[in-house]
Amino acid sequence: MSALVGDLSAFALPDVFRLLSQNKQSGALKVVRESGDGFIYLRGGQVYFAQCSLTKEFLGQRLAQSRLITQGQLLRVLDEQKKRGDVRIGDLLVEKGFVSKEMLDTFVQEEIQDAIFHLLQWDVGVFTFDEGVVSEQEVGLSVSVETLIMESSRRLDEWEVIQRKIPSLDVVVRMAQSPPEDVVEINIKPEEWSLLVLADGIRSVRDIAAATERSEFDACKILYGLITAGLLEVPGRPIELSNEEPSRLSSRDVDDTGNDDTGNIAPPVLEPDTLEISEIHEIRLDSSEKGDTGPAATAVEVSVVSVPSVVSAPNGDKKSEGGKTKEGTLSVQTVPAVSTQTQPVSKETLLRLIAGVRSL
Amino acid sequence: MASAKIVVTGPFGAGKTTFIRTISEITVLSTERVISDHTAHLKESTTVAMDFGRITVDPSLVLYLFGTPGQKRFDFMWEMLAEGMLGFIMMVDRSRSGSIDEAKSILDAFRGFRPTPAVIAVNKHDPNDPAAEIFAVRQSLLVEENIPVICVDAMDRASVKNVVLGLLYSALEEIDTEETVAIA
Repeated sequence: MSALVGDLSAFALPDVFRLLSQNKQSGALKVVRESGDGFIYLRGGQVYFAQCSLTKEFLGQRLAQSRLITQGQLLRVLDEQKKRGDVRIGDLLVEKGFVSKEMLDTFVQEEIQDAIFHLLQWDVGVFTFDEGVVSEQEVGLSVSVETLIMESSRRLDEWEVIQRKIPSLDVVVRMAQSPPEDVVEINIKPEEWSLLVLADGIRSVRDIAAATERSEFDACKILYGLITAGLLEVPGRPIELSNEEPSRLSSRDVDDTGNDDTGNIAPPVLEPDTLEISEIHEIRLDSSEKGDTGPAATAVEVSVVSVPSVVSAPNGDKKSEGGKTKEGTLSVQTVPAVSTQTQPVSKETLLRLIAGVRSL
Repeated sequence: MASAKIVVTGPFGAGKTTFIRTISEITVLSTERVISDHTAHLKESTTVAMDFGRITVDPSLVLYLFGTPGQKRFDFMWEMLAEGMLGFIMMVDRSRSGSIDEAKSILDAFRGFRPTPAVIAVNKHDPNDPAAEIFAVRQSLLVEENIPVICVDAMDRASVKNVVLGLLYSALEEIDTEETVAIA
């Protein structure tokens, strides 16, 4: 018999989660609704694996799709696994040197986070907790429940901001017909560039996400920045604002793409302008790294010195390599995914911090 | 890359989000949202997850600023955000009478996590008599002498920088004191 059984309409999943965490429970929390199910595995109150049926794929396939390993490498480890029997794919990939343990851990942690993000948004369905049940897909990670809930909460907040500019995954985006005012230089990152060139006025946001093999959330986040900066626009689609208070995590019926049941992203609520305009001098883009953008940042900051000839510049003209735009200012920045955890600082580090802040 | 973290906390509406935005080199996707509860008349939106700012000190060192949610119902996040922090900045809104009382309970909560350097930043104060403002806040919050109380204009970069430096100096003094004690 299950140790804990309930309905999500009465108990929100974050609350169930916290209860299990506080009691340092070990076992499997199963969540079931009509469209699918999910499992969250805990040991001593910490999550070590999670899976959502609607996004469920084997680890090897996910790694190959993310181009962290090749299909050939995947096939080789699958053959090896078949021969050796009770060996996990992840272990084999590390053993063969196809991925590092750190990369594997990071990838799996993101997968766990993705699954939990989806599950935490369910407000219908039933849950059962079975003590002692373990996952066969454990990869030796453990993540605190609070960290997972906070990360999910952060993502949901970001969705709400994004929806202000991108009300649906089906909207089409294109290069802006007129440049942002007073722009002379635009710094963009490689990941932004890769989406920018696909914004042809034909592809939808969903198409662009698929073409760049990004999650819809990631693609929307980048496109949001580009739209806000004035580089892209959603043609002929006024965005209606709503004052409706959106509910968080457990009280909005969103599907596994983060959308509501109608296929549209929920009405936007937030007001802030998130991208700043600052003084810069020409459109530049290159792929040279300019240092770390912080822990777990998804991209390095770059500048580009030439604009591919096939791409429209923000002023609407076709640009050749080295072409320049009209004068003006613009800065595009995206938010890195940052851990809330840091290490205590040494005196030497502190002195460097003081010098750095003083020079601001 | 090495990093250090400062937490910016304080009562609802004290100016934490503005403070971080003023000094951060990056613009943050705001986590603020429309408020639905009884505090709604005070501020149109509030921080429910966290604000995040960054100051790149040099190519191998970065300082992060994390803003806590101001409302009590999100206090479960405070301890999580406080983990590993270099210290915290407690912001107080002098223009709102309830701010000091709320600051007291937040201050107690943060002191309970583990001893770390702190600075009290007095925002929305009377610019004509900052000394009196500082004295009043120090008395009201019963803060120890070693905790700096600094007037700040959360929208002014130099003013915000002064508060961040105040915290860093406190952290440095703490390390120096520990070293002195260790030698003795």
